[in-house]
Order: sequence, then structure tokens, then C-alpha cells
Amino acid sequence: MSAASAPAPVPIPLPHHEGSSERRFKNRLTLLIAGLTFITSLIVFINVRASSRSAAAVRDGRIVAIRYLGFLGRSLWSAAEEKDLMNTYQETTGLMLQAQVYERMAKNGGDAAFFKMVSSSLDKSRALLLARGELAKPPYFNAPYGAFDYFQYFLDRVYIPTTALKEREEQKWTESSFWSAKSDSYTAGLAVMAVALFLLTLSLVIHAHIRVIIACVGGAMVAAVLALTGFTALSQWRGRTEDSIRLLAQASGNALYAQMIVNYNGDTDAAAVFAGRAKSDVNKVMREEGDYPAAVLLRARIHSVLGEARYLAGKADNGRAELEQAAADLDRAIRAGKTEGFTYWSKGYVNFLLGRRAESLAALDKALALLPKEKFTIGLVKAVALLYAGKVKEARALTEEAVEFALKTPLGGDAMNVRTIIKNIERFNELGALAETAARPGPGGPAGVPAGLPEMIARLKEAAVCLAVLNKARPGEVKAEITPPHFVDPVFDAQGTIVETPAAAAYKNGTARAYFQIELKGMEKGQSLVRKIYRRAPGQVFWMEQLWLGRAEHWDGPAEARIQATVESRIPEAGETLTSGDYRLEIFVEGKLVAAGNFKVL
Amino acid sequence: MSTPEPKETLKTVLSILIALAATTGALVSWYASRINGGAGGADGKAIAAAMDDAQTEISAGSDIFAFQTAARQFQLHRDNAKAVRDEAFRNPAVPDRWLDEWQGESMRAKARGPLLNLDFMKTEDGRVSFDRDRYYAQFRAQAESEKALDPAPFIAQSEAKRKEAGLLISLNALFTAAIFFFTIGLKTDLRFKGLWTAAGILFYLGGAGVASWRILFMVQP
Repeated sequence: MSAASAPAPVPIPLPHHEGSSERRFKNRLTLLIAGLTFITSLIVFINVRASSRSAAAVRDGRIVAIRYLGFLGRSLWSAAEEKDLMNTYQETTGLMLQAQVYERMAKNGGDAAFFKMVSSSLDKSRALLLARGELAKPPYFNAPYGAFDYFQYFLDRVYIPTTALKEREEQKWTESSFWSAKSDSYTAGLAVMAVALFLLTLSLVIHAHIRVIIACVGGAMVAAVLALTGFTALSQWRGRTEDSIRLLAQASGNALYAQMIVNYNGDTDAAAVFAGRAKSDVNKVMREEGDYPAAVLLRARIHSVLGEARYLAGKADNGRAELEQAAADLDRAIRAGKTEGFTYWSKGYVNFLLGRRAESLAALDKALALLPKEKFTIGLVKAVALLYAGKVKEARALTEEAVEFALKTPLGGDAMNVRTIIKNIERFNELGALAETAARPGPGGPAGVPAGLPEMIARLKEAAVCLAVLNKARPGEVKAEITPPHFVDPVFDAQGTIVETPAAAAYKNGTARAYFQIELKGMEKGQSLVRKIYRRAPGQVFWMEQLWLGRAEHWDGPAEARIQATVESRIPEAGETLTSGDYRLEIFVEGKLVAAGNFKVL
Repeated sequence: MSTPEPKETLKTVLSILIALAATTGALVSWYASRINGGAGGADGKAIAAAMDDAQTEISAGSDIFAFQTAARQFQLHRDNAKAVRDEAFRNPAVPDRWLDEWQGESMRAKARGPLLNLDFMKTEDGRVSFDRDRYYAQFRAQAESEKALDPAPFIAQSEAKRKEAGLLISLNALFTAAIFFFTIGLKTDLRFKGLWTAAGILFYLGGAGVASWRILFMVQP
């Protein structure tokens, strides 16, 4: 059939309603696509804005981090300079006092005048030094005693400002993450929008009924993008105010001071003063910004210090509310994402003091997993918790593991950590023993001494000596025997020779030396002989180790001997005396605790 | 050659306008991204300034510590040397070794000499000391003359560029709105097609005008 003869194709008209429906569908779809282009441009705009803010926050975070380092470096140099200045001041004062003594001792007027001139010149130097240093001015300097509070200076000039800078940096990183998450969300929305636009355009060019399904899928995707974008756009960044950050840093400094007081001299009342200041500042922050995780964590720390101090002071019931608040704040901080190992460590310890053994052990396990380098300290805290949970065998094994770890890890054997742990568990032991007698200090504390606690204390004391002096984890075989020290108050004749050594019930106030006698058997030449002295002032909670009074030496005498020795003040020649309080002397041979005894200075 | 029907002419014009608006939007976005790149560069300069500032502070701190300690020890040894010498020459009864002591202290004072920064020494009441405030001020001024230590101007620059880039990106809303109105004129049976088209042209011209003004006369990448 030729083309010329072929009849012209007759278009088959669609029913009227089908044609107009198709046209309407396409028109609406076209309009929708055009409208979506407009919306997409808006999403692009807010995405660019979020991304810019994230980049600006990263820049600011880096700048604050660098400022932190710069400030830290500069402030540490200034602190070193201040210390150096104060050292010179103290040296000059010593020389001046010497010159004054020589002036009084001078046998002729000329010498006296010379030493007077020297002393006056040194005094002028002192005045110049005082005029220059910040550490030499109130509130850091106590002029009558020539003593300065370097720790408070360090907190004010180094720790608190750097903590504030660190917090500002943290804020910038959080802000950057916030904007970056927003931008990511918008970008995801834009990607989905592109697919939706493709599907809608596809439904424009196909005629099958499937086009409706494709258009519906595209529409659903558009709806999802709009919902996601709307939800993301509604969340707003709310940074912390400068006031809050300043108060938080200040509170952090005071909390640290309180903790140091508890650790250094156990003066719980003094610690409470600093903790109280910290609490007041952090409460101000919490009133303004209740959702500030760093503030929640710091408040937990303050409550924990106060609760611990009261618990250790034998006022566990008074401390319980503080510890409960600390536990609640720690849980809140963990829920807010503060899931560092130290948070779980605190949670474990606070729950231990509250008597919640299972929670305590679970939290300490998490802390151990997150802070493997702190195995010595956290391991020992967990070992104590295990003892109180009646798991003596596990506690012993963990203690040995922790001590072995300390031998291999410098951080583990940190002398202050060891002292702090020993003094705390000694106090637990004491509180437990008191609870078993009529002299129970108060309810809420330990009900008694758990099995294995006294052995653990002795083991840790030996471990401390072995780690520090012998570089070993445990004492070797020791055959030496030493009798408990017998404290005496010698009577001297006119030549200064001891003529009589009556037993001393207590030494009078102003004593510079406490004499004791011991008998030694089975000693070997070169054996390590360590003496440790602990003191407890009247009303003080802990037995604090007196580092100045301790000795570490090697035996150089016969196998058997009877000796008389002294515990003497730092500078007896200058008239310094032993301060009042109860004293305890412990003697270690090759790291093994072989003798101990107590004395008192009135 | 036949002339297209007026309706077809309008469709062609509208299609061209849609393409023009889309292209202008793309060009403006490209320019905005260049400005954003400039903001990143200013951020880098701000960070470099902060680092230079930190380095200057730490260097000043260590210098001041060293110079001040040297000056203090110099003064101490000089005082001692003076006191010993005075007594040794004044009092014939003092032992000979006092002269050795005097010489020793003098030597120690002299040994501090190279460590003393004589440009910044000051004398108060007959004693020398290191003028740390003047040294710090000059050290910092010297560093500032060589490099920027304050990140603030760069941060301001970066913020201005980011604001500008944001503004240019936001103009895309006008271009896409214009496309939307042109599409109404092109693809619907709505009445007042001329008005929709006019609105589209208005939006397009508004966007293009603002973009040209900002690009030509305001912030450069």
C-alpha cells in the first residue's frame, strides 16, 4: 500500500474529561516543581548559614584553644617568677635574721655597727622584693610570718582563668557540632529533595497510571524533607553566658581547694568553707542555666567532697543528703552525655559511701574500662568496695593486680594517691571499729569492719614502701624481728648525758625530740629500714603521714642490737618543736611492716 | 516564514526568562562560594594571629623570668661582696679567707653579667633591678610591628564576608520566586498571566540589581 493512497490517520480523541484531567495534573505538577525550587533555594540558604556558623565556631574554638595555651604558658612563667621572688625574699630574710643575731653577739661596737648596717641593707632589699611581687601582697601574703599562700595564687592567676578559657573552648566545639549537625540535616534534606524533584519531573513525561504512584512517592519525600527541615530549623543554639562560665571556673577552683584540703590535712571544716563558696557560685549558674552539664558535674563534685568529708568525720547522716545529691547530679550528667571515666569513678565512690554496693561496683567497672591507666587507684577503690560487699578473695586479687600495675606504671605509684587511699581506708576501718562499740560516732556510716580490711591496709602500707624505696611490688622474706618501740623521756645530767630513761606516757608541749628504744634481731647488713610517722592533731579526722619526720636508710649494725633513736622536729636546732597531737611510728624492714607504736605530744 | 502566534511568543519569552533567572542564580551562588572561601582565608589569618600572640606571650614570660632572676641574683651577690669587702678592709681581725669570700661573691656577681639585660635595668635606692613592665611593653610592640597579634580584625573580615555570602545566597529565593511566577504564566490557565509575568520580572530584576550592587561595590572575595 502506497503512502499516497493511504488514508490520513484520524486522531482518536480522548474523552473530554480525560484530556483536561491530564492537563490539570501536569499544570499542578509543574507549579509544584517550580514552588519546590523556591523552597529548595530557601533550604540552601539556611544550610549555607548553618555551615558558616559551624565554620566560625570552629575558628573561634581554635583561637580560644591557642589563647588557652598562650595564657597558660605566660601565667606559669609569671607564677614561677613570683615563686622565685618569694624564695629570694625568704633567703634575704634568713640572712637578715642572721645579721641581727651577729649584731647582738658582737663583742665590740664596730662589729655591731657593721652587722646593723648589713641587716638594714637586707631589710631594704626585702622591702623592694615585697613591693614587686603579687604573691607578696594580700590576700596571698601573711607579713608577720613571711608566709605566702601560693596555692590560692595559683588558683586565682592560673587555674581559674585557664578553666574559664577551656570552658569557652568547649562551648565553641559544642556550638560547632550543633551547627554542623544542622547543616548535615539540611544537606540530607536537599539530597532527598533532588530525588523527589526527579520523580515529580518523571511523572510529567510518562503517561501510564504509574505516574500517579511516582508523583505520590515524590510528594511523600517532599513532605518528609519539609518536616525534617522545619524540625531542624526550630532548634536554636543557646550558648552559655560569660557570667556562667566565670562563676563555673571560680567554683571549680574553690572545689579543688576543698578537695586538696581534705587530701592534705583532712581539715573537713576548712574544706567545707571552700566547698560552700563553690556551691554558692555553682547554684547561681544552675538557677540561670539548669541544663548546663559541666555545672551539673561540678555540683556533683562539690556535694561529693562535702558528703565525703562529713562521712569521714563520722557524721555520715549529715553527709547523706550531700551524697544523694551528688549521685543524682552524676546520673544527670551521664544522661546529658558526660560519660567520661572520671564521672563513673565518682559515681562508683559516691555510691560506695551511700552503701549501694552493686551500683558502686558497676560504675567502677565502667570507670576501669574507660580509664585503664588509672587501674591502680580505681582498682583499689573497687577492691575496698568488694570487701564491703563481702567478696574478700576478689578484693585481695584485685589489690595485688593494682599494686603490680603500679610497679609498671609511673602514674599508678603516685605517692599522693597512695597516701590518700591509705588514710581514707584507715579511717573507714576506724569508723567501722567505732560502730562496733558504744562510741559509735553516728548512724549512716559503716556498720562494722569488713573482713580483710585491716590486712588490706597493712598490705598497702607495705606496697607504698616497696614501690617507693625498693622498686618492688611486695616485701621479700624477712627474718628480722623488732620489738614495738618503747617511748621514753630521758633525764639528762649537767653535761647533757642521759642518766635515766623513764617511760613516757606523753611528751610535754614544746618537745623537739621524742625518744624511743627498740630491740632488733635477725637484721642483715644493707637491709632497707624505713620509718614512717603519722600524726593526728586534736579533732582531726585522719592520720596524716608526716613526710619530714620519716626516714629511709640501710641497716649497718650487727644482727642483734638495742638502739635508742628519736623522732625529731624538722629543725630542732632552731627551736622548732613537735606539734601537739597523737603520733604513730611504723618501722619497715625490706618493705615489711615489723613494728609500730604510738606516742603523744601534749 | 511564518510569525509565531502571540501565545507562542509569550511562551518563548517566558522560557528564556526562566533560563536567565536560573543562570543568574547559579552565577550569584558561584560568587557567594568564592566570598565564603575568602572568609575561610580570614579565619586562617585570625588563627595565625592568635598563635603569634600566644608565642609572643610565652616568649616574653620566659625572657622576663630569666632576666629578672639574673638581676636579683646579681644584686644579692653584689650586696654580699660589698658587705664582706667593707668588713674585711675595716676590721683587721677578720680571717684571710674573708677576702676569698669577697672575691668569690664578686665573681658570682660578675658571672651574672652576660645574663643581665642592661637596656632594661633600673636603679631603685642604689639597687639594680630588671624593669619587666617596660621590657614587656617593648617586646610586645616589637612583635606587633612584625606580625599581627590581634585576631579581632580578621574575625570581623571573615564575619562580613560570611554575611555577604549569606545575603547573595538568599537572593536565590528571589530568582526561584521569579521562576515560579514565570512558570505560572507558562503552564497554567490562571488569569492575569501578564501580571504573574510582571511580578516574576520584578523579582528577577530586584534580585539581579541587589546582586550586581553587592558584587560590584561591596565585599570582594
